[in-house]
Amino acid sequence: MLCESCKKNPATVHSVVIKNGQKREQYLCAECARQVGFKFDSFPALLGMLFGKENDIISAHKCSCGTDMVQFYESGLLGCPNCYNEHREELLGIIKRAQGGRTEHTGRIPSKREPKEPDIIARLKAELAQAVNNEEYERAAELRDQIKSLSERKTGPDALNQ
Amino acid sequence: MPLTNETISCRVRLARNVKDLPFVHNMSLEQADLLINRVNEAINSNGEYKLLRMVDVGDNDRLLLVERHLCSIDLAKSAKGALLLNEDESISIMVNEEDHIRIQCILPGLDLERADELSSGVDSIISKKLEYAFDAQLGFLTACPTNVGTGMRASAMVHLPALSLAKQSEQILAALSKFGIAVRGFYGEGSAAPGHIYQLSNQMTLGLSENEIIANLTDTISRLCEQEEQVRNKINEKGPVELADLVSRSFGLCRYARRMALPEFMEHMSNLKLGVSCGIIEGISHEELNALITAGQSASLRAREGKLLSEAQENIARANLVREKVAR
Repeated sequence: MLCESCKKNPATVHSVVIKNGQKREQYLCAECARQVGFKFDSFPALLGMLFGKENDIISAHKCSCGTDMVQFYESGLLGCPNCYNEHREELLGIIKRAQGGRTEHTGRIPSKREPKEPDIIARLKAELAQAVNNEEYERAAELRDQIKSLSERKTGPDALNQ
Repeated sequence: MPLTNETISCRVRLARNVKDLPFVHNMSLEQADLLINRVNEAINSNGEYKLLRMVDVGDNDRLLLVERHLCSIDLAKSAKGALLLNEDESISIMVNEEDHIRIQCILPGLDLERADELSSGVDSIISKKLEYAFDAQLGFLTACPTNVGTGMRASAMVHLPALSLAKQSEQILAALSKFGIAVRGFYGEGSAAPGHIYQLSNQMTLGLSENEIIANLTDTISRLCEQEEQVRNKINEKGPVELADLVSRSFGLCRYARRMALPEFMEHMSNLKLGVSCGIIEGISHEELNALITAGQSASLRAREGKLLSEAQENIARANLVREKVAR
């Protein structure tokens, strides 16, 4: 594909600019891309090669943190965790190459975060209402006791130790 | 302690990031400071860890942390960085290095399972308080996409003098990359291997479980150590006088030298460890020599002398230390 601007050189940059809700896509050569403000001094030098990227088309789409793939190839670093969603397709290719063809996590997952105590009580109260509605009185009694003991713990003699 | 003869120390490091902040290089100083406080509150409610903000730590003390592998050189240089260090220094938590949080556990010998247990214990406590950036497909998300998945880097410092003497180490170590193992020198990335000490670590972080990573590395290092032992015995059988001469010359220099530069020191320490393994020298253990290797590095010597040292003064201080420890 030829550059849409100069129509001479092959297009190597895929520029996506979203302005006033309008999406404008362009395929540009490196020279024309530079003229509209792309920076890629160190590309496709070391990092591009390291990540197996040579002359493919780079998306100019920016994540909400301001990071695009050109910046990524320059630094080797992403801007924020959300970049993985915004640049997912390109990153999956890079990750696959770096990880010996693997793209699926098979290891541990984060521990469940401790809900704050008021959250637990609120959840139990909702369950209690549901149990009463369903006339499950034994379950309701259990829930009532749990709520009571949690509420007492917050204000009772142990409160100081928490 | 398993395989202490050849494996000086082992380490497990977990890279973690919180969900609601940009990665460190994209963070403001205020955000970085806030994160230090959040991590400190999450893990340090009982004051078990010493919190060191890098901006408050003096130049030599920062180098000292790097020499003891408790902190990376990048963190030591960073105005955003902090280190949480437990009392026996087995756990160090780097905050605002390349990733928001890097939990490391360093233990003597080859005990990666235990190092994993300890670091994942810390990880689990932090993850109950802070929401990590985690993706169902890619696992733990990291600033550099080559660390995603488990975010785990397991490594060990392995001393292979016999394989080096037999000129087999380069060939063997080069072949390890085919098994997903990276090899570096004693001082980390890009460094040579003074004293025939190599750092071996896993290359892949995604698509393998933590247990698989640990088992692969432990298995490879164990086999490497067996090879080292076989070659050592062969060298000892073929040329016992040559080997004893090599070790004894180093022993003599360590007992009497008055100046010792760092490369020479590393070579002698390597020879002494080889001598201990072969039973040529007695009265000093691998553990003592491992501790001496750390104590003989530049920043440790400056800390011991309590002042800045020129290179010439440092070499004198190093020889004094070595004489004191070896000439008993």
